[in-house]
Amino acid sequence: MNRKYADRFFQYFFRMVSLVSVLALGAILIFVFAQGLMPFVGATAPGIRLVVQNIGELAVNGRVYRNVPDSISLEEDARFISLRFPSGDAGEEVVDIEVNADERDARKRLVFARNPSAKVSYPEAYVVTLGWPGLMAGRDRKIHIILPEPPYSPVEFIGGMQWQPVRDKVFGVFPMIAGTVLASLGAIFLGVPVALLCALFMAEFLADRPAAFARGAIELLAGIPSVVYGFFGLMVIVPAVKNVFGIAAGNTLLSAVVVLALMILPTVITIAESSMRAVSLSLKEASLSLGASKMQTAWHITLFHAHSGVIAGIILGISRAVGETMAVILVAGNSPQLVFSPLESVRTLTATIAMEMGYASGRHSEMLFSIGVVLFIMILALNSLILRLRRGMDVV
Amino acid sequence: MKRFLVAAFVGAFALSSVFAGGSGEAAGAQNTPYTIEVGGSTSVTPLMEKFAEAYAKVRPHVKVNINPTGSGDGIKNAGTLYQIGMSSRELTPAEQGQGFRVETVAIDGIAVIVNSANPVGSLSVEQIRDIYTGAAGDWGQVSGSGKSGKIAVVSREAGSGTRGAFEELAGIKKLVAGANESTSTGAIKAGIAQNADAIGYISLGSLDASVKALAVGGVAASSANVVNGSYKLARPFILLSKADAHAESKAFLEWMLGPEGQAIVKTSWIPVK
Repeated sequence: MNRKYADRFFQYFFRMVSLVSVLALGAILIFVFAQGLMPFVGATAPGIRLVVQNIGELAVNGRVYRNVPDSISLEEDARFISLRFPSGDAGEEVVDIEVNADERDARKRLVFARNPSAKVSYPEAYVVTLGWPGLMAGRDRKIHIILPEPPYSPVEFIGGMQWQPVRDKVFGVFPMIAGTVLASLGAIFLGVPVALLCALFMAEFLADRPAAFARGAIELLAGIPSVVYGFFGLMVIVPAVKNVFGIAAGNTLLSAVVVLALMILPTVITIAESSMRAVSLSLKEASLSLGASKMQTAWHITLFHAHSGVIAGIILGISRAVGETMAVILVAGNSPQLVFSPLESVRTLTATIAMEMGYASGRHSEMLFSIGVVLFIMILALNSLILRLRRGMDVV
Repeated sequence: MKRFLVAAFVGAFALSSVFAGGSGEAAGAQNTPYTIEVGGSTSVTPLMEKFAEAYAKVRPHVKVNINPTGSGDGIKNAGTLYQIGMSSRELTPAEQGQGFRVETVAIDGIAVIVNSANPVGSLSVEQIRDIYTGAAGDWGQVSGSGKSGKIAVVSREAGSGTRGAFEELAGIKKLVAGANESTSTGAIKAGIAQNADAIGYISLGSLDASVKALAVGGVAASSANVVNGSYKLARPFILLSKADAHAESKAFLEWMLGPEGQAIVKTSWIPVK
């Protein structure tokens, strides 16, 4: 009787636990997607916003503010902005602006009726600042006109070549997508052959005791925090690349590839080696008894029959290379440019998120979530591609 | 055995609650423990850590939690997540107008640094602008001291307070393509200490002997020259709070702006009062 209740309790307990973990994963996905899709569906604000500094009394479109709030929002469809405020002894500053809502170019959207008395400046995209000298030194009177940013085109986001998030507010991530792909591919091409040969050597040729020692050492390597690899790269690989190739800075795609290749070694070796050990002894004995050499057996029997584990190791290696952040930030140089040579500075998607998340505000911060969505889709596509490849191989 | 253990636990709980109650009463009503959350700029963090350390002696029941996240985050979450937000740059127009109380707590110079082996000792603001916009790509174009070779330009990431202030002061509109971007003062120093062709910039308060600070327009990078206005590359350290902040966080803010706080500022930065 007791047993039955205990079983039922554990059944519900397991269901609850899996439900909670599925819900948590779903919540993370929904959060990232909701944030990341925001810049493409709506404008940043419904209408024009004014930010006023050091002006005590102000009339905006006929409405008088005696105690000017920090921020004044205009109506959504305001076609003009008329600003009036007392200045000096009996004077009055007057600025009349016509709003050309259909104008695509943000700089031309505001048309000043006559030469304004203010100094007009454009500190960043979608912001126009009117400035007057202050009544006291250092207390310049300013009115910032903040225009709403229209929805961003997804094509310009994915295909854009420029990443100027602060001043120009241009968000093109193609160089970063290319950077992530190139760095990961390079690491795989450099790291996987080395890892497979190493695993084969440990599984087939090394005596038991040294093999166990080597295995322990490699597992230890897998546990080292990535920032340590990054600092090793910064102190050793970056200067080496600089000196060997005689370039100005060693923070390049090549350095990132070398560090990433080192980082995926332990993962690929451990998994590949254990699957090679699992290859049935009878297969190897059959091969040897037919007269094949030890080398031929290792190459044709062990490696071939362990392919499922080898591919699993490569998948994990790719995931590690694509998702790696800290080590890459330290050695890659992080310039958001399209690279045509391994000796140029490169930036990855994850590096962009990690570097700029703390500093970003407004649309810039939402765009970093959009990069997260791009990364998510890339990894999903990669995994399903590899799964398909693997299914194809299993049939053979 | 089991019963004994339970009894021991209950006893321990009872005792600890008695002691806790006792100490609470001894501390008095106005000294209830309080934690002030501070967050934002990584450049302001070293100064804030010194403040927190000293304030722990002035008001031991107040704990200051520092979250070094970045100026943007400090401004965005001032008054909500953080009672005090830290920024190492002026607020952008879009960030203004949220009813913040904005206080400049210190002035920090920005040192332009090169490798110790670099013979170049001084650059003008125009030369720095040329290097960072790509108009000058070789040391031979700017040094006048015989050094040549491609310049490795090192900058900070977009949105960084140090970068924003540096670009505004030097008049840099668009960073040269291929410039390295580092996320922290430490990474920039480490990178420049082992690269004889590199140039970068860091907070003057974080300068040490591992790299060499250039004179800008012939004026050496020092606190004294920032104070007398001859060294042009300087920016404010700003603290943001809301009017409805807790009394303890207001008191902490006043203390930082007061003589004791400003004396701490003086150790590596430039006081405002």
